[in-house]
Amino acid sequence: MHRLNYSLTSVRMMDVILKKSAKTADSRIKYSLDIIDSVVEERQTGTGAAYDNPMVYTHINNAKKAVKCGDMPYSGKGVGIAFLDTGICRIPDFGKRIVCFRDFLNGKKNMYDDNGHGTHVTGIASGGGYYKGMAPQSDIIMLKVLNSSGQGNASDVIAGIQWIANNRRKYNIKIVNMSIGTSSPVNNDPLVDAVERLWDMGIVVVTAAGNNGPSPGSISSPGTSRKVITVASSDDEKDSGIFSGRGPTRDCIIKPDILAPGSNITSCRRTAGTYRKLSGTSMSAPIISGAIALLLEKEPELCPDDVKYMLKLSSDTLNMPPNRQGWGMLNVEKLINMEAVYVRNKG
Amino acid sequence: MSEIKDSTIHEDGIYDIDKSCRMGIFAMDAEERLIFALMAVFLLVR
Repeated sequence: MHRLNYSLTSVRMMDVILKKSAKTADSRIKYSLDIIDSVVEERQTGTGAAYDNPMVYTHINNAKKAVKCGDMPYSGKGVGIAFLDTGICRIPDFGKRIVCFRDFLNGKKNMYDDNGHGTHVTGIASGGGYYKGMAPQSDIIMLKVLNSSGQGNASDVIAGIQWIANNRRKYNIKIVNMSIGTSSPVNNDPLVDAVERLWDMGIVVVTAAGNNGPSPGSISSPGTSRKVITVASSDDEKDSGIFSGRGPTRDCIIKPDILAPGSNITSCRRTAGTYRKLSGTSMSAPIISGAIALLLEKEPELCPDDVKYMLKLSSDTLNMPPNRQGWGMLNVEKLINMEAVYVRNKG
Repeated sequence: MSEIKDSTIHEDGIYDIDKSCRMGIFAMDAEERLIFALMAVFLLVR
């Protein structure tokens, strides 16, 4: 895996490196994408056991409390969330809501997840089992673009993004969750271009900030895009020792945009009725994606800029620096209860 | 309905600009190149 860590003080050297990288970014881009998380503890908890086990001290229900997502009249019903990830296992938590599975690596027809990351991430946004996700009735579109090690090529991710663009109406895809990214940015980043094209088509793209913080300029691509919603963990250094990526981006944009819990989030394993805890901004991003699904169920006419602006207006500051917290912590209650805001005059 | 005015709203998206972010130029004139080269030589010799 090719990692580049840089600071703003070494921009000149970085420019030379990037020129070299750009030369390699041809038809098949070789830099790898990581899943953005790390396993803090893996525990098999049979259904119901987690509540009795004092070791399992944070789970999605607690994370939902932290972002003020209590009893909601919305569940994301009918809103399609596409996940670019390692795949998904057919477990009861997802019911019949996995409306499409595409394998961009091996071309398999039957759904699978040979890593487990994709199933976990999907559970946080859309799980409807013992641990309810943020939007437990949202539709799931899983595009497998990373392998069993959680790595893959940007070209496969871009192929997945292209597929979403072509099939967005068929599956009512309103949100794309990318708990993946690369810490090897290149000039004219094709990943950033691809997600921005989706955004302009009316799809809200939510990306993880990456776990390469805390130095400035450590946001992963495509979270560096000024358009998309980049999510960092609100509680990383305190609980898991992981540091979310921090801004600014190379073009001086403040990132991340928003925070959500990302430490020790319990969600689905690949085996039915079992759960595990993972930490990282991979876990924070689907909390935001799920919240947006609730909002879009209520206000389906909102465009991505409207959604992003409403997230800004409704989030709560945690009094951290802007390049650590963005606009602050997600507040679902405020987001859902506020009147729709249309950023630009319509047509 | 009037358009919302907010420093976050830009033509190409919703974002905040980091005003404290330091930007630099990557160009050097001949004089600067000479100083840079002399400094490099000095450091090497030293």
